Amino acid sequence: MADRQTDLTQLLQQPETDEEQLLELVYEELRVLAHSRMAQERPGLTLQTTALVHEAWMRMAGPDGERLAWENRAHFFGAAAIAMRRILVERSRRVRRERHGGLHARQPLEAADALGAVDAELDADGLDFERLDGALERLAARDEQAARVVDLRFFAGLSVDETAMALRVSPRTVAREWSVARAFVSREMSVG
Amino acid sequence: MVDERDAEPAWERIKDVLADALELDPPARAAYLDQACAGDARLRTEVDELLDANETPALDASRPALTYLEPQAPPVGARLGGYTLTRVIGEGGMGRVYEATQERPHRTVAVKVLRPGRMSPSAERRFLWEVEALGRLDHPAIARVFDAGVEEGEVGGAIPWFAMERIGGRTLLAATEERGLGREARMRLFLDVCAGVAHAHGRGIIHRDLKPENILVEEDGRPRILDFGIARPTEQTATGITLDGEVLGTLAYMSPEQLSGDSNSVDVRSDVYSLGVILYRLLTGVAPIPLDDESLPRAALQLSQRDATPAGRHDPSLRGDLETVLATALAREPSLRYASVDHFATDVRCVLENKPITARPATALHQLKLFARRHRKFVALSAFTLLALLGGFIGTSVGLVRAERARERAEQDRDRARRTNRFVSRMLASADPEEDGRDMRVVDVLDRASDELEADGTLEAPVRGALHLTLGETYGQLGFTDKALAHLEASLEQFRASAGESDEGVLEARSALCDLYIETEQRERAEEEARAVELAVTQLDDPPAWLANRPLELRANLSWDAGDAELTIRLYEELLERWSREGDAGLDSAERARNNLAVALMQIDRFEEAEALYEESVAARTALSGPTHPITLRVRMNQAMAVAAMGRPLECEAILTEIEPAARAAWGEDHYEYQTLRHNIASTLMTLERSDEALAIFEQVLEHRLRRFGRAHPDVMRTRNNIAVAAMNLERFETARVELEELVAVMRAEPGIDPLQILVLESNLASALSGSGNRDEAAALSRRVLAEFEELVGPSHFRCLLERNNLAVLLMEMGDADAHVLAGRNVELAREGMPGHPLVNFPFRMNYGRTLAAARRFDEAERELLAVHAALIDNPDASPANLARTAEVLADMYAAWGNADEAARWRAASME
Repeated sequence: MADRQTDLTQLLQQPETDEEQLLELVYEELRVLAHSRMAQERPGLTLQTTALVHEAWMRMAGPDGERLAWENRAHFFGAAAIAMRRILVERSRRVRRERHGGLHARQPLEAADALGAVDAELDADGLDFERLDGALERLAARDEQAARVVDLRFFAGLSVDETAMALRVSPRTVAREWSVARAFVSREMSVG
Repeated sequence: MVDERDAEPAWERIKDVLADALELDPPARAAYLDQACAGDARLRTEVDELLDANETPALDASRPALTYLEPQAPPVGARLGGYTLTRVIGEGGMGRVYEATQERPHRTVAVKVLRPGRMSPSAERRFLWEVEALGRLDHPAIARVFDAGVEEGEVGGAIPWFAMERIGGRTLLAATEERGLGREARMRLFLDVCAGVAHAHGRGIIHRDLKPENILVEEDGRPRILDFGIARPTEQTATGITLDGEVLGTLAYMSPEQLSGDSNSVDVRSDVYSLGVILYRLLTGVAPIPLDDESLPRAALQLSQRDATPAGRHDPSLRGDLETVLATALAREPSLRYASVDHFATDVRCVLENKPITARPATALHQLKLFARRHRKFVALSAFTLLALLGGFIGTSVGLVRAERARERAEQDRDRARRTNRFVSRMLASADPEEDGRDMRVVDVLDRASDELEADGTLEAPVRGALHLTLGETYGQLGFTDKALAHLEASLEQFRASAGESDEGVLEARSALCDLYIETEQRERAEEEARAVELAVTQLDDPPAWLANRPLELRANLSWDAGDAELTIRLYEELLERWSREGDAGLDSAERARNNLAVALMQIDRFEEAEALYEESVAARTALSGPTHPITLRVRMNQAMAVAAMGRPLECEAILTEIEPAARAAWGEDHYEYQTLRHNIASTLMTLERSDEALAIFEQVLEHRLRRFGRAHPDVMRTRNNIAVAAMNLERFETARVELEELVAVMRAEPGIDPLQILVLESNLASALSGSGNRDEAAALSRRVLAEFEELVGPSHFRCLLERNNLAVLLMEMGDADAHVLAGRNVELAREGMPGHPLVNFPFRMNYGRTLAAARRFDEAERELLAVHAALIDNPDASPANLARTAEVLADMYAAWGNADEAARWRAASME
């Protein structure tokens, strides 16, 4: 834990953050956290993306986190959004593969496959994360900022204000980007 | 020619039209689109398509990605145990509530299904055991629990559920509103709730999540409490910080110990706290701690660090007993709360029956409140000043240390000082800066309060002591040392008379006196007070942190005053570490120590470290108190000064300009702190060679300061001096001379002014005289100033170096062939006094070269000037202006020496 804190704090404060390394670090942490959430013994707790990402931040940055500048945090949340997106898309892919392969049994709960363990529970409200990913890539090709807003709001669970701070734009801009991005993604997903 | 109908419309265009359309109501859209897409059918099609798709959006802002992975609650129609779920009647953070029917006995019940998840066999057993215990609760105010189970979900995951009485009522707040209940009826209803909670407590069951939503009022007016013992949100979220939006409602009713995630310390008193919040809401309509901030970490921080707003602020008729009862139930420290719900209920009943309550505020607090009410404005200002204590260098962190103590002291009735703190902070919260306008001078308000304090014979000694202390500190911060001294001595006297020599109040007053003596250069007295405090503290058993750290703090302040920066730094480092160990309770003091440490580091030119500390400080302060809090602003001001000291005036100016609006809003136009900020902005502008702008600001600042302090105050002197310097920068030497002559006269007539300060003024006056052509007078004055400086601070002090430099140049200009002797000595002393400092090279050594050239000692002049030039080239931070100036001097030197080629070469270099 202490090492991770140092890693993160140092990484964020370097003038040129190694983005891949940051992403990797955050990705691992979020996977582990998501796993422990899934395995939570006591029921009654909602899995909350915001909570998860904020908790990852607290665990990784430790008490120093409060002292880090907002830019560093914003940076972290940006990486967390990408990590969450990656985790969910990978999981979605695996579910599809396994369904097609007829794998339907409950799986043993192991760290490496924490998210896989609840795969089967995807319900009618479920979202096709693979298609969403494709739609977002098409959006990003036209409009990087709008796609980033979706990442931060939807995948990292940031509020409008937090997203605005992370992107250094006004909350109004975030709201506008979000509404446009949502329309775009909705169309992309309804058509092909 | 391109056919427009076939061209793909640009995304920017689509986006603009789409975003605009989405902001319009659907009826208005068509008209807008007709106009916006006129003649561009492709655009219209594209936007229409997007708008259509948006009717069934694929994403929902309130449902972030991970929620899609949650197992789902069972659908209506499903069977759980012997119950058929018939419809959903509620949805909450914990799960979903269904209406359900049971076959035998045939009845309608409520089934609460907790969010599905994984459960180990032992967790499952625990759940069932708890529900069983709940089933044994039998009280009219508690909803009956019939049955419970854990179902295996269809697709995995355990689904715990329990069946309870179906209650058709409204939630507590809605019911009291709808029924139009008056205060008395609300209190009686609340007492019914207390009876239920007390019943459960008697059987070892703590609710842990009491809130109006968990209390339903039935048709017949009976309250029924739901969800006993089930909800334990804090157990799963270690910090209380990771709760999500819908939990905010619950958050507001949680006790500080629940918020801190310390589940071991949750006991019946946590329910007392929640009940306190409920009663507060019932009586005032608002929450005891307002949460204006949406961010959860901030909200949790506020809830765990703030005291409840006194209920009387919302409704004056609540003042007195009810306010006291609520404050007792809402005490942040569990040991200060009612020990049980019964105790709480008894006091509420006493209020209803007009009997004396048990939790009576001590007379001292009562009196403080009365005094405070009469002096709302005074208190408002002094509280602000207390918070703004962080002047360039802070004395003792009295104001906030008091806040720490509030957390640490447990002896409710004896803790006078804790109440003093409340009194101040409460008034800060209740003061309305708009109310009284800001034309009145702070000092007038203080004077008025002082007069009334003297005239009021009804106050008890400890109260008088506390008020004298606050007044004394406030005067001190404003620079009125005589008045400050009188109040602090009176404070000491009052505390001593009422409680003896080792009373906390005595130690506090002594500490404040120590700082004041330091301020007024009465070193021996300062040391005496520090020793007295230290002695008293060492005799205490296990003193609280605010007392235990006080002697160290005073030692640090003393060593700072003694000019021992190294020792000061060590002491402040230790203090910072000690406060950091105190955790949250020491946050404010730690930040203070950090600030002082940074100031001391700046003193010995360890600017990088100071700047790093300030950065941490700013981040911590911003998180702790928000970006526009007076303390945050103060730290940023200091940070700006550090940045300026590192030779980055542009950044400094940017910071100061950025915080200016917030500072004006926080302090008001007429406030000391705000004017200090303006003064600093102007000083920075001067460095940026924008002296005309600086001058205008200085003049405004001067107006404020004159009004506030009169003519002889050190701050007034500083501003007038800067006005003169700015005028000199603008080559208005005559204006500067008049200003400075008058200023010197005023300051000389004033007793107790630091002679060094007058010398600085005279030094500037010498420059003004020289600039306005009175060279002889200037030289005579400069000689005297230099001699006195040497006497006072030693010959290699920065001030002396500067003065000697100026005098040497002046003598050279007056044709004195020995000017170089003085200049040469100056360079030697500079190398001694400030080794490695860039000023040694330029201007001191450069001017030495000039004086050598003027004395026609060209060989030596050449050697010096070339070395100066080379050093400037080597220094990446050297200003191009200095380089050019040195080249120019070299050119002049070679010209005078008769070396036309070199002269021309350097002349060209100086033009680059």
